[in-house]
Amino acid sequence: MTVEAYNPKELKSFKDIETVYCSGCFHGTINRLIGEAIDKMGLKESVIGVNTQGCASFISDYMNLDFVEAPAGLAPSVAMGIKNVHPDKILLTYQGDGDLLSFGMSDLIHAAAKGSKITVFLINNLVMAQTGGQVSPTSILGQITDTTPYGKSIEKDGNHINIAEMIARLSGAAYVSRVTVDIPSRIEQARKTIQEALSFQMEGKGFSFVEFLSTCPTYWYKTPIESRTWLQETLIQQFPIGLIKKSYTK
Amino acid sequence: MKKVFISGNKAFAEGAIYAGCRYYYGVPRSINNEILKYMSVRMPEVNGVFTQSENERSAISMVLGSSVAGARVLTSSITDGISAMDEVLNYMCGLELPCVVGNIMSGKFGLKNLEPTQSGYAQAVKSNLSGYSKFIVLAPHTVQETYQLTAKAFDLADKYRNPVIVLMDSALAQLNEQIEIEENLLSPEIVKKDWKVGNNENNKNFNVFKSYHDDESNKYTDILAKFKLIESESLYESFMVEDADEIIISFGLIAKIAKGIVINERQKGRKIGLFRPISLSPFPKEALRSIANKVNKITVLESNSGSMYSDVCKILDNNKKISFFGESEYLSGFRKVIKEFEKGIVTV
Repeated sequence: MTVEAYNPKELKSFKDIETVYCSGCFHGTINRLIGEAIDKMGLKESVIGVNTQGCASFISDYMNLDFVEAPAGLAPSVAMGIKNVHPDKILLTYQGDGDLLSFGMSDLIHAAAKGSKITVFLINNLVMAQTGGQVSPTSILGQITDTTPYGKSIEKDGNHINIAEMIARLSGAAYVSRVTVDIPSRIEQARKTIQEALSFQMEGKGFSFVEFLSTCPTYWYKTPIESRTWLQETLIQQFPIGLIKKSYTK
Repeated sequence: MKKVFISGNKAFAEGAIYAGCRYYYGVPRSINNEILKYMSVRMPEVNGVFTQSENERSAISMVLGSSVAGARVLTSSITDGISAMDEVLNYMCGLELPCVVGNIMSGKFGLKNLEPTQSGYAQAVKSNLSGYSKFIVLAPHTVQETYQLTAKAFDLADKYRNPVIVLMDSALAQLNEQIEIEENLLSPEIVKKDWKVGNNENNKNFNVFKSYHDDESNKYTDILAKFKLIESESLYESFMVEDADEIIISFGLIAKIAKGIVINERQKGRKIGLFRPISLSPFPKEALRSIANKVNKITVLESNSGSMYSDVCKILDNNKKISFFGESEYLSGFRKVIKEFEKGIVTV
Protein backbone atom coordinates (compact mmCIF):
# COMPACT_ATOMS: atom_id res chain seq x y z
CA MET A 1 0.00 0.00 0.00
CA THR A 2 1.07 3.57 -0.48
CA VAL A 3 1.31 5.93 2.42
CA GLU A 4 0.68 9.60 1.77
CA ALA A 5 3.56 11.71 3.00
CA TYR A 6 3.02 15.19 4.36
CA ASN A 7 5.74 17.70 4.99
CA PRO A 8 5.05 18.96 8.52
CA LYS A 9 6.33 22.42 7.48
CA GLU A 10 3.50 22.67 4.96
CA LEU A 11 0.71 21.76 7.37
CA LYS A 12 -1.61 24.63 8.18
CA SER A 13 -3.65 23.22 11.07
CA PHE A 14 -0.69 21.67 12.86
CA LYS A 15 2.31 23.55 14.27
CA ASP A 16 5.64 21.88 13.54
CA ILE A 17 7.17 22.55 16.97
CA GLU A 18 8.68 20.48 19.76
CA THR A 19 6.04 18.85 21.98
CA VAL A 20 6.03 18.06 25.69
CA TYR A 21 4.95 14.44 25.14
CA CYS A 22 7.20 11.64 26.50
CA SER A 23 9.22 9.42 24.12
CA GLY A 24 7.14 6.66 22.62
CA CYS A 25 3.81 8.34 23.39
CA PHE A 26 1.31 8.34 20.51
CA HIS A 27 -0.23 11.75 21.33
CA GLY A 28 2.18 13.62 19.02
CA THR A 29 1.41 11.34 16.07
CA ILE A 30 -2.34 11.60 16.67
CA ASN A 31 -2.18 15.43 16.98
CA ARG A 32 -0.39 15.57 13.64
CA LEU A 33 -2.80 13.12 11.98
CA ILE A 34 -5.75 15.28 13.07
CA GLY A 35 -3.98 18.30 11.57
CA GLU A 36 -3.32 16.42 8.33
CA ALA A 37 -6.92 15.22 8.07
CA ILE A 38 -8.29 18.73 8.68
CA ASP A 39 -5.92 20.20 6.08
CA LYS A 40 -6.79 17.53 3.55
CA MET A 41 -10.49 18.24 3.99
CA GLY A 42 -9.90 22.02 3.84
CA LEU A 43 -11.66 22.53 7.18
CA LYS A 44 -9.06 24.69 8.93
CA GLU A 45 -11.39 27.69 9.20
CA SER A 46 -14.36 25.72 10.47
CA VAL A 47 -12.99 23.39 13.12
CA ILE A 48 -13.35 24.26 16.82
CA GLY A 49 -11.67 21.89 19.27
CA VAL A 50 -12.44 21.20 22.90
CA ASN A 51 -9.69 19.70 25.03
CA THR A 52 -9.85 18.81 28.69
CA GLN A 53 -7.64 17.72 31.55
CA GLY A 54 -4.75 15.31 31.34
CA CYS A 55 -2.05 14.89 28.69
CA ALA A 56 -4.76 15.48 26.07
CA SER A 57 -4.96 19.11 27.20
CA PHE A 58 -1.68 19.96 25.44
CA ILE A 59 -3.15 19.59 21.95
CA SER A 60 -4.24 23.24 21.88
CA ASP A 61 -0.56 24.29 21.94
CA TYR A 62 0.21 22.36 18.75
CA MET A 63 -2.78 23.21 16.55
CA ASN A 64 -3.62 26.38 14.62
CA LEU A 65 -7.27 26.07 15.57
CA ASP A 66 -9.75 27.64 17.96
CA PHE A 67 -9.55 25.60 21.15
CA VAL A 68 -11.46 25.68 24.42
CA GLU A 69 -10.38 23.89 27.58
CA ALA A 70 -13.27 22.20 29.37
CA PRO A 71 -13.30 21.06 33.00
CA ALA A 72 -12.65 17.36 33.59
CA GLY A 73 -14.94 15.12 31.55
CA LEU A 74 -17.24 17.86 30.32
CA ALA A 75 -15.90 18.39 26.79
CA PRO A 76 -18.87 16.72 24.98
CA SER A 77 -21.32 19.09 26.72
CA VAL A 78 -19.14 22.12 26.00
CA ALA A 79 -18.91 21.05 22.35
CA MET A 80 -22.71 20.68 22.19
CA GLY A 81 -23.07 24.20 23.62
CA ILE A 82 -20.76 25.60 20.93
CA LYS A 83 -22.46 23.57 18.20
CA ASN A 84 -25.84 25.05 19.18
CA VAL A 85 -24.46 28.53 18.48
CA HIS A 86 -22.37 27.56 15.41
CA PRO A 87 -24.23 24.70 13.67
CA ASP A 88 -22.03 25.22 10.59
CA LYS A 89 -18.75 24.57 12.44
CA ILE A 90 -17.05 21.22 12.98
CA LEU A 91 -16.72 20.39 16.68
CA LEU A 92 -14.19 17.87 17.93
CA THR A 93 -13.24 16.90 21.45
CA TYR A 94 -9.85 15.40 22.31
CA GLN A 95 -9.92 13.45 25.56
CA GLY A 96 -8.03 10.80 27.45
CA ASP A 97 -9.55 7.67 28.96
CA GLY A 98 -9.38 8.92 32.56
CA ASP A 99 -11.07 12.17 31.60
CA LEU A 100 -13.75 10.78 29.29
CA LEU A 101 -14.59 7.52 31.06
CA SER A 102 -14.00 8.37 34.72
CA PHE A 103 -15.12 11.97 34.99
CA GLY A 104 -17.26 12.39 31.91
CA MET A 105 -19.05 9.10 31.25
CA SER A 106 -22.54 10.57 31.59
CA ASP A 107 -21.78 13.51 29.29
CA LEU A 108 -20.40 11.11 26.68
CA ILE A 109 -23.33 8.69 26.81
CA HIS A 110 -25.93 11.48 26.63
CA ALA A 111 -24.12 13.26 23.79
CA ALA A 112 -24.08 9.98 21.86
CA ALA A 113 -27.67 9.10 22.73
CA LYS A 114 -28.86 12.53 21.58
CA GLY A 115 -27.05 12.01 18.28
CA SER A 116 -25.16 15.27 18.80
CA LYS A 117 -23.35 16.42 15.68
CA ILE A 118 -19.93 16.36 17.29
CA THR A 119 -16.87 14.10 17.00
CA VAL A 120 -15.25 12.67 20.11
CA PHE A 121 -11.63 11.46 19.91
CA LEU A 122 -10.67 9.19 22.79
CA ILE A 123 -6.97 8.66 23.33
CA ASN A 124 -6.92 5.43 25.31
CA ASN A 125 -3.56 4.79 26.98
CA LEU A 126 -4.95 2.69 29.87
CA VAL A 127 -3.75 5.00 32.66
CA MET A 128 -4.40 8.45 34.05
CA ALA A 129 -1.01 9.61 32.89
CA GLN A 130 -0.74 13.32 33.66
CA THR A 131 -1.80 12.88 37.28
CA GLY A 132 0.90 10.30 37.89
CA GLY A 133 -0.18 7.02 36.33
CA GLN A 134 -3.18 5.98 38.41
CA VAL A 135 -5.56 3.17 37.38
CA SER A 136 -8.15 4.15 34.78
CA PRO A 137 -11.43 2.53 33.64
CA THR A 138 -9.59 1.03 30.66
CA SER A 139 -6.62 -0.44 32.58
CA ILE A 140 -6.52 -4.16 31.91
CA LEU A 141 -6.45 -6.94 34.50
CA GLY A 142 -3.08 -7.38 36.12
CA GLN A 143 -1.84 -3.95 35.05
CA ILE A 144 0.47 -2.32 37.58
CA THR A 145 -0.37 1.34 38.10
CA ASP A 146 0.30 3.97 40.75
CA THR A 147 -2.88 2.98 42.63
CA THR A 148 -2.94 -0.74 41.78
CA PRO A 149 0.56 -1.68 42.98
CA TYR A 150 -0.42 -5.39 43.11
CA GLY A 151 -2.05 -5.30 39.68
CA LYS A 152 -5.64 -4.50 38.70
CA SER A 153 -7.84 -7.30 40.01
CA ILE A 154 -11.26 -8.46 38.90
CA GLU A 155 -12.53 -8.75 42.50
CA LYS A 156 -11.48 -5.31 43.62
CA ASP A 157 -11.41 -3.15 40.50
CA GLY A 158 -13.47 -5.01 37.91
CA ASN A 159 -12.61 -5.44 34.26
CA HIS A 160 -11.84 -2.71 31.73
CA ILE A 161 -14.51 -0.82 29.76
CA ASN A 162 -14.69 -1.26 26.00
CA ILE A 163 -16.42 2.03 25.45
CA ALA A 164 -16.45 2.02 21.63
CA GLU A 165 -18.58 -1.15 21.57
CA MET A 166 -20.91 0.33 24.20
CA ILE A 167 -21.34 3.59 22.27
CA ALA A 168 -22.07 1.65 19.07
CA ARG A 169 -25.21 0.21 20.72
CA LEU A 170 -26.79 3.67 20.87
CA SER A 171 -28.84 4.63 17.86
CA GLY A 172 -27.61 8.25 18.02
CA ALA A 173 -24.05 7.08 17.32
CA ALA A 174 -23.51 7.11 13.54
CA TYR A 175 -19.81 6.35 13.29
CA VAL A 176 -17.72 4.37 15.77
CA SER A 177 -14.23 3.09 15.14
CA ARG A 178 -11.10 2.03 17.01
CA VAL A 179 -7.66 2.64 15.52
CA THR A 180 -4.05 2.71 16.56
CA VAL A 181 -0.91 4.34 15.14
CA ASP A 182 1.85 1.80 15.79
CA ILE A 183 2.83 1.02 12.17
CA PRO A 184 2.62 3.05 8.90
CA SER A 185 -0.36 1.14 7.48
CA ARG A 186 -2.39 1.70 10.65
CA ILE A 187 -1.32 5.37 10.72
CA GLU A 188 -2.73 5.74 7.21
CA GLN A 189 -5.91 3.95 8.32
CA ALA A 190 -6.20 6.25 11.34
CA ARG A 191 -6.02 9.36 9.14
CA LYS A 192 -8.76 8.00 6.90
CA THR A 193 -10.85 7.19 9.95
CA ILE A 194 -10.49 10.75 11.26
CA GLN A 195 -11.61 12.10 7.89
CA GLU A 196 -14.57 9.74 7.78
CA ALA A 197 -15.66 10.63 11.34
CA LEU A 198 -15.49 14.34 10.55
CA SER A 199 -17.39 13.88 7.28
CA PHE A 200 -20.20 12.06 9.17
CA GLN A 201 -20.50 15.15 11.34
CA MET A 202 -20.41 17.50 8.33
CA GLU A 203 -23.20 15.59 6.68
CA GLY A 204 -25.25 15.79 9.88
CA LYS A 205 -25.53 12.04 10.26
CA GLY A 206 -25.06 12.00 14.00
CA PHE A 207 -22.51 11.39 16.72
CA SER A 208 -19.09 10.13 15.65
CA PHE A 209 -16.54 8.51 17.93
CA VAL A 210 -12.96 7.39 17.30
CA GLU A 211 -10.92 5.57 19.93
CA PHE A 212 -7.14 5.71 19.47
CA LEU A 213 -5.40 2.85 21.25
CA SER A 214 -2.30 4.62 22.53
CA THR A 215 0.81 4.04 24.60
CA CYS A 216 2.20 5.47 27.82
CA PRO A 217 5.76 4.16 28.24
CA THR A 218 6.31 6.36 31.33
CA TYR A 219 3.45 4.84 33.35
CA TRP A 220 3.50 1.42 31.78
CA TYR A 221 7.07 1.34 33.16
CA LYS A 222 8.33 0.12 29.76
CA THR A 223 10.65 1.41 27.05
CA PRO A 224 8.99 2.87 23.90
CA ILE A 225 9.81 -0.32 21.96
CA GLU A 226 8.49 -2.60 24.74
CA SER A 227 5.35 -0.49 24.96
CA ARG A 228 4.66 -0.82 21.26
CA THR A 229 5.22 -4.58 21.43
CA TRP A 230 2.88 -4.89 24.43
CA LEU A 231 0.23 -2.89 22.53
CA GLN A 232 0.58 -5.13 19.47
CA GLU A 233 0.73 -8.45 21.32
CA THR A 234 -1.63 -7.93 24.25
CA LEU A 235 -3.78 -4.84 23.99
CA ILE A 236 -5.14 -5.31 20.48
CA GLN A 237 -6.75 -8.55 21.70
CA GLN A 238 -8.54 -6.66 24.48
CA PHE A 239 -9.34 -3.65 22.32
CA PRO A 240 -9.88 -4.99 18.77
CA ILE A 241 -9.10 -2.34 16.18
CA GLY A 242 -11.23 -1.65 13.14
CA LEU A 243 -14.55 -0.12 12.17
CA ILE A 244 -17.28 -0.91 14.71
CA LYS A 245 -20.29 0.96 13.38
CA LYS A 246 -21.09 3.02 10.34
CA SER A 247 -24.77 3.57 9.95
CA TYR A 248 -27.21 6.32 9.46
CA THR A 249 -30.75 5.73 10.56
CA LYS A 250 -33.13 8.64 10.68
CA MET B 1 -44.45 48.26 26.97
CA LYS B 2 -47.21 45.80 27.72
CA LYS B 3 -48.74 44.66 30.97
CA VAL B 4 -48.64 40.98 31.90
CA PHE B 5 -49.50 38.99 35.02
CA ILE B 6 -46.65 36.52 35.53
CA SER B 7 -44.57 34.81 38.20
CA GLY B 8 -41.03 35.69 39.22
CA ASN B 9 -39.78 32.60 37.37
CA LYS B 10 -41.41 33.70 34.11
CA ALA B 11 -40.26 37.30 34.59
CA PHE B 12 -36.72 35.96 34.95
CA ALA B 13 -37.12 34.06 31.66
CA GLU B 14 -38.72 37.02 29.87
CA GLY B 15 -36.01 39.41 31.09
CA ALA B 16 -33.40 37.12 29.56
CA ILE B 17 -35.28 36.77 26.26
CA TYR B 18 -35.65 40.57 26.08
CA ALA B 19 -31.88 40.96 26.57
CA GLY B 20 -31.14 38.74 23.57
CA CYS B 21 -30.60 35.43 25.30
CA ARG B 22 -31.48 32.58 22.95
CA TYR B 23 -29.91 29.64 24.77
CA TYR B 24 -31.27 28.09 27.93
CA TYR B 25 -29.94 24.90 29.50
CA GLY B 26 -31.45 23.55 32.68
CA VAL B 27 -32.31 20.59 34.85
CA PRO B 28 -35.59 19.88 36.68
CA ARG B 29 -35.26 20.90 40.33
CA SER B 30 -38.44 21.73 42.29
CA ILE B 31 -39.03 25.50 41.96
CA ASN B 32 -36.87 25.63 38.82
CA ASN B 33 -39.29 23.37 36.90
CA GLU B 34 -41.52 26.29 35.96
CA ILE B 35 -38.62 28.01 34.15
CA LEU B 36 -37.87 24.81 32.22
CA LYS B 37 -41.46 24.37 31.16
CA TYR B 38 -41.76 28.04 30.16
CA MET B 39 -38.48 28.08 28.24
CA SER B 40 -39.34 24.87 26.38
CA VAL B 41 -42.25 26.83 24.87
CA ARG B 42 -40.69 30.31 24.58
CA MET B 43 -37.26 29.46 23.16
CA PRO B 44 -38.58 27.86 19.94
CA GLU B 45 -40.89 30.89 19.55
CA VAL B 46 -37.90 33.26 19.44
CA ASN B 47 -35.72 30.87 17.36
CA GLY B 48 -33.72 29.95 20.43
CA VAL B 49 -32.43 26.66 21.81
CA PHE B 50 -33.82 24.94 24.90
CA THR B 51 -32.10 21.82 26.19
CA GLN B 52 -32.90 19.80 29.27
CA SER B 53 -29.57 18.39 30.40
CA GLU B 54 -28.90 15.26 32.39
CA ASN B 55 -27.40 17.10 35.37
CA GLU B 56 -26.26 20.56 36.47
CA ARG B 57 -22.64 19.94 35.54
CA SER B 58 -23.62 19.19 31.99
CA ALA B 59 -26.07 22.13 31.84
CA ILE B 60 -23.41 24.63 32.93
CA SER B 61 -20.90 23.01 30.52
CA MET B 62 -23.28 23.70 27.66
CA VAL B 63 -23.56 27.25 29.00
CA LEU B 64 -19.75 27.46 28.86
CA GLY B 65 -19.83 26.22 25.26
CA SER B 66 -22.45 28.69 24.07
CA SER B 67 -20.78 31.51 25.99
CA VAL B 68 -17.37 30.87 24.47
CA ALA B 69 -19.09 30.84 21.08
CA GLY B 70 -20.24 34.41 21.76
CA ALA B 71 -23.92 33.94 22.67
CA ARG B 72 -25.93 35.34 25.57
CA VAL B 73 -26.80 32.25 27.57
CA LEU B 74 -28.81 31.41 30.67
CA THR B 75 -29.21 28.62 33.18
CA SER B 76 -30.91 28.34 36.55
CA SER B 77 -31.35 25.99 39.45
CA ILE B 78 -32.07 25.95 43.15
CA THR B 79 -29.22 26.69 45.56
CA ASP B 80 -28.33 23.01 45.86
CA GLY B 81 -28.13 22.59 42.10
CA ILE B 82 -25.85 25.62 41.78
CA SER B 83 -23.41 23.84 44.12
CA ALA B 84 -23.07 21.13 41.48
CA MET B 85 -22.18 23.82 38.91
CA ASP B 86 -19.40 25.34 40.98
CA GLU B 87 -16.46 23.65 39.28
CA VAL B 88 -17.50 24.87 35.84
CA LEU B 89 -18.44 28.34 37.09
CA ASN B 90 -14.93 28.55 38.53
CA TYR B 91 -13.56 27.81 35.06
CA MET B 92 -15.83 30.43 33.54
CA CYS B 93 -14.51 33.07 35.97
CA GLY B 94 -10.96 32.06 35.05
CA LEU B 95 -11.56 31.95 31.30
CA GLU B 96 -13.52 35.22 31.61
CA LEU B 97 -16.71 33.94 30.03
CA PRO B 98 -20.00 35.79 30.57
CA CYS B 99 -23.23 34.02 31.51
CA VAL B 100 -26.27 34.59 33.70
CA VAL B 101 -27.26 32.05 36.34
CA GLY B 102 -30.54 32.10 38.23
CA ASN B 103 -30.07 30.92 41.82
CA ILE B 104 -33.47 30.21 43.37
CA MET B 105 -32.93 30.05 47.10
CA SER B 106 -34.78 27.15 48.65
CA GLY B 107 -34.00 24.53 51.25
CA LYS B 108 -31.85 24.69 54.32
CA PHE B 109 -29.76 21.54 54.29
CA GLY B 110 -29.49 19.63 51.03
CA LEU B 111 -32.88 18.89 49.58
CA LYS B 112 -34.60 18.35 52.92
CA ASN B 113 -37.46 20.78 53.41
CA LEU B 114 -37.63 22.65 50.13
CA GLU B 115 -39.00 25.68 51.88
CA PRO B 116 -38.38 29.30 50.96
CA THR B 117 -35.21 30.62 52.59
CA GLN B 118 -32.39 33.00 51.74
CA SER B 119 -29.86 30.20 51.93
CA GLY B 120 -27.99 31.21 48.76
CA TYR B 121 -26.44 34.49 49.97
CA ALA B 122 -23.11 33.10 51.11
CA GLN B 123 -22.91 30.71 48.17
CA ALA B 124 -23.43 33.49 45.62
CA VAL B 125 -21.46 36.28 47.30
CA LYS B 126 -18.60 34.36 48.87
CA SER B 127 -18.93 31.43 46.43
CA ASN B 128 -17.78 27.87 46.94
CA LEU B 129 -15.24 28.46 44.19
CA SER B 130 -11.52 29.02 44.43
CA GLY B 131 -10.48 32.03 46.45
CA TYR B 132 -9.88 34.03 43.28
CA SER B 133 -13.22 33.70 41.52
CA LYS B 134 -16.06 36.09 42.22
CA PHE B 135 -19.53 36.67 40.84
CA ILE B 136 -21.61 39.76 40.32
CA VAL B 137 -24.79 39.09 42.35
CA LEU B 138 -28.13 40.87 41.87
CA ALA B 139 -31.07 40.31 44.24
CA PRO B 140 -34.51 41.50 43.05
CA HIS B 141 -37.36 42.08 45.52
CA THR B 142 -40.36 42.23 43.16
CA VAL B 143 -41.40 40.42 39.99
CA GLN B 144 -40.94 43.65 37.98
CA GLU B 145 -37.42 44.04 39.32
CA THR B 146 -36.66 40.38 38.52
CA TYR B 147 -37.45 41.15 34.88
CA GLN B 148 -35.31 44.31 34.81
CA LEU B 149 -32.35 42.93 36.74
CA THR B 150 -32.16 39.77 34.63
CA ALA B 151 -31.92 41.92 31.50
CA LYS B 152 -29.30 44.11 33.20
CA ALA B 153 -27.39 41.01 34.30
CA PHE B 154 -26.59 40.21 30.66
CA ASP B 155 -25.14 43.70 30.10
CA LEU B 156 -22.96 43.41 33.21
CA ALA B 157 -21.86 39.86 32.25
CA ASP B 158 -20.77 40.99 28.79
CA LYS B 159 -19.21 44.26 29.98
CA TYR B 160 -16.97 42.56 32.55
CA ARG B 161 -16.80 39.07 30.99
CA ASN B 162 -17.86 37.42 34.24
CA PRO B 163 -20.73 35.16 35.37
CA VAL B 164 -23.62 37.06 36.99
CA ILE B 165 -25.97 35.47 39.53
CA VAL B 166 -29.60 36.56 39.83
CA LEU B 167 -30.46 35.57 43.40
CA MET B 168 -34.19 35.01 43.83
CA ASP B 169 -36.17 34.00 46.90
CA SER B 170 -38.15 30.90 45.96
CA ALA B 171 -41.29 32.64 47.23
CA LEU B 172 -40.55 35.45 44.76
CA ALA B 173 -40.02 32.90 41.97
CA GLN B 174 -43.55 31.61 42.53
CA LEU B 175 -45.16 34.98 43.26
CA ASN B 176 -47.47 36.33 40.55
CA GLU B 177 -47.59 40.09 39.96
CA GLN B 178 -48.66 42.43 37.19
CA ILE B 179 -45.57 43.83 35.52
CA GLU B 180 -44.65 45.83 32.44
CA ILE B 181 -42.44 44.16 29.86
CA GLU B 182 -40.89 45.42 26.61
CA GLU B 183 -42.65 44.45 23.41
CA ASN B 184 -39.59 44.72 21.14
CA LEU B 185 -36.81 42.31 22.00
CA LEU B 186 -33.14 43.31 21.75
CA SER B 187 -31.03 41.67 19.05
CA PRO B 188 -29.06 38.58 20.17
CA GLU B 189 -26.01 40.10 18.40
CA ILE B 190 -26.17 43.26 20.49
CA VAL B 191 -22.58 42.94 21.73
CA LYS B 192 -19.67 42.29 19.36
CA LYS B 193 -17.27 39.72 20.78
CA ASP B 194 -13.89 39.45 19.05
CA TRP B 195 -12.64 36.95 21.58
CA LYS B 196 -15.19 34.24 20.77
CA VAL B 197 -14.37 30.95 19.05
CA GLY B 198 -15.68 30.42 15.54
CA ASN B 199 -15.12 34.10 14.75
CA ASN B 200 -15.10 34.16 10.95
CA GLU B 201 -14.13 37.82 10.72
CA ASN B 202 -10.83 37.13 12.38
CA ASN B 203 -9.46 34.12 10.56
CA LYS B 204 -5.77 34.77 11.07
CA ASN B 205 -5.73 34.66 14.86
CA PHE B 206 -7.10 31.66 16.65
CA ASN B 207 -8.76 32.06 19.98
CA VAL B 208 -7.53 29.52 22.49
CA PHE B 209 -9.05 29.34 25.97
CA LYS B 210 -6.99 27.47 28.52
CA SER B 211 -6.60 27.56 32.26
CA TYR B 212 -2.83 27.39 32.43
CA HIS B 213 -0.44 29.92 30.96
CA ASP B 214 3.02 29.27 29.66
CA ASP B 215 3.75 32.81 28.52
CA GLU B 216 3.07 36.30 29.81
CA SER B 217 1.16 37.47 26.74
CA ASN B 218 -1.59 34.93 27.31
CA LYS B 219 -2.47 36.05 30.83
CA TYR B 220 -6.02 36.95 31.66
CA THR B 221 -7.04 40.03 33.54
CA ASP B 222 -6.29 40.15 37.24
CA ILE B 223 -9.58 39.24 38.91
CA LEU B 224 -8.95 41.66 41.79
CA ALA B 225 -8.35 44.58 39.45
CA LYS B 226 -11.52 43.64 37.59
CA PHE B 227 -13.60 43.63 40.75
CA LYS B 228 -12.23 47.06 41.70
CA LEU B 229 -13.78 48.32 38.45
CA ILE B 230 -17.01 46.46 39.13
CA GLU B 231 -17.34 48.28 42.51
CA SER B 232 -18.75 51.24 40.59
CA GLU B 233 -21.72 49.13 39.49
CA SER B 234 -23.14 48.69 42.99
CA LEU B 235 -26.89 49.24 43.30
CA TYR B 236 -29.07 49.90 46.32
CA GLU B 237 -32.39 51.34 47.37
CA SER B 238 -32.85 53.53 50.44
CA PHE B 239 -36.44 53.77 51.60
CA MET B 240 -37.51 56.52 54.02
CA VAL B 241 -34.02 56.94 55.44
CA GLU B 242 -33.72 60.75 55.19
CA ASP B 243 -34.93 61.47 58.75
CA ALA B 244 -34.67 57.94 60.13
CA ASP B 245 -32.92 57.16 63.37
CA GLU B 246 -33.15 53.42 62.93
CA ILE B 247 -32.92 51.31 59.76
CA ILE B 248 -33.56 47.77 58.65
CA ILE B 249 -31.11 46.20 56.18
CA SER B 250 -32.61 43.48 54.05
CA PHE B 251 -32.43 42.00 50.54
CA GLY B 252 -34.71 40.08 48.21
CA LEU B 253 -38.33 39.38 49.07
CA ILE B 254 -37.66 39.90 52.78
CA ALA B 255 -36.88 43.54 51.92
CA LYS B 256 -40.40 43.80 50.57
CA ILE B 257 -41.76 42.55 53.89
CA ALA B 258 -39.44 45.02 55.62
CA LYS B 259 -40.90 47.82 53.52
CA GLY B 260 -44.32 46.92 54.91
CA ILE B 261 -42.90 47.05 58.43
CA VAL B 262 -41.40 50.49 57.73
CA ILE B 263 -44.68 51.86 56.38
CA ASN B 264 -46.65 50.46 59.34
CA GLU B 265 -44.24 51.81 61.92
CA ARG B 266 -44.00 55.21 60.21
CA GLN B 267 -47.75 55.61 60.59
CA LYS B 268 -47.24 55.22 64.31
CA GLY B 269 -44.63 57.97 64.24
CA ARG B 270 -41.54 55.78 64.59
CA LYS B 271 -38.62 57.13 62.51
CA ILE B 272 -37.59 53.95 60.74
CA GLY B 273 -36.19 53.36 57.24
CA LEU B 274 -34.95 50.55 55.01
CA PHE B 275 -31.61 50.06 53.25
CA ARG B 276 -31.82 47.42 50.52
CA PRO B 277 -28.67 46.33 48.68
CA ILE B 278 -29.74 45.37 45.15
CA SER B 279 -26.28 44.21 44.10
CA LEU B 280 -24.99 41.95 46.86
CA SER B 281 -21.66 41.70 45.06
CA PRO B 282 -20.36 44.40 44.65
CA PHE B 283 -21.98 45.41 47.95
CA PRO B 284 -22.93 49.13 48.12
CA LYS B 285 -20.46 49.77 50.95
CA GLU B 286 -20.09 53.54 50.74
CA ALA B 287 -23.84 54.13 50.59
CA LEU B 288 -24.37 51.88 53.60
CA ARG B 289 -21.63 53.61 55.60
CA SER B 290 -23.01 57.10 54.93
CA ILE B 291 -26.56 56.08 55.91
CA ALA B 292 -25.40 54.07 58.95
CA ASN B 293 -23.51 57.10 60.29
CA LYS B 294 -26.78 59.01 60.68
CA VAL B 295 -28.78 56.38 62.56
CA ASN B 296 -28.70 55.00 66.09
CA LYS B 297 -29.91 51.48 65.52
CA ILE B 298 -29.49 48.98 62.69
CA THR B 299 -31.31 45.67 62.32
CA VAL B 300 -30.27 43.12 59.69
CA LEU B 301 -33.29 41.06 58.67
CA GLU B 302 -32.72 37.97 56.52
CA SER B 303 -33.91 34.39 56.31
CA ASN B 304 -30.68 32.53 57.02
CA SER B 305 -28.15 32.12 59.78
CA GLY B 306 -26.64 35.58 59.31
CA SER B 307 -24.69 35.58 56.04
CA MET B 308 -25.34 39.24 55.23
CA TYR B 309 -25.21 40.23 58.91
CA SER B 310 -21.52 39.29 59.09
CA ASP B 311 -20.83 41.31 55.92
CA VAL B 312 -22.67 44.35 57.29
CA CYS B 313 -20.76 44.12 60.58
CA LYS B 314 -17.49 44.02 58.67
CA ILE B 315 -18.40 46.98 56.47
CA LEU B 316 -19.53 49.04 59.49
CA ASP B 317 -16.46 48.01 61.47
CA ASN B 318 -18.38 45.92 64.05
CA ASN B 319 -20.46 48.85 65.24
CA LYS B 320 -22.32 47.83 68.40
CA LYS B 321 -25.66 49.21 67.30
CA ILE B 322 -26.17 46.41 64.72
CA SER B 323 -28.54 43.59 65.64
CA PHE B 324 -29.53 40.55 63.63
CA PHE B 325 -32.87 38.87 63.11
CA GLY B 326 -32.67 35.70 61.04
CA GLU B 327 -35.98 33.92 60.84
CA SER B 328 -35.81 30.32 59.78
CA GLU B 329 -39.56 29.84 59.43
CA TYR B 330 -39.72 32.46 56.68
CA LEU B 331 -43.22 33.85 56.10
CA SER B 332 -44.87 32.46 59.24
CA GLY B 333 -41.80 33.43 61.19
CA PHE B 334 -41.80 36.91 59.76
CA ARG B 335 -45.30 37.52 61.10
CA LYS B 336 -43.64 37.12 64.47
CA VAL B 337 -40.95 39.60 63.40
CA ILE B 338 -43.57 42.16 62.44
CA LYS B 339 -45.24 41.79 65.86
CA GLU B 340 -41.92 42.26 67.60
CA PHE B 341 -41.17 45.33 65.55
CA GLU B 342 -44.55 46.68 66.60
CA LYS B 343 -43.51 46.27 70.19
CA GLY B 344 -40.29 48.08 69.37
CA ILE B 345 -38.23 45.08 70.46
CA VAL B 346 -35.90 43.19 68.22
CA THR B 347 -34.43 39.86 69.21
CA VAL B 348 -30.70 39.79 68.88
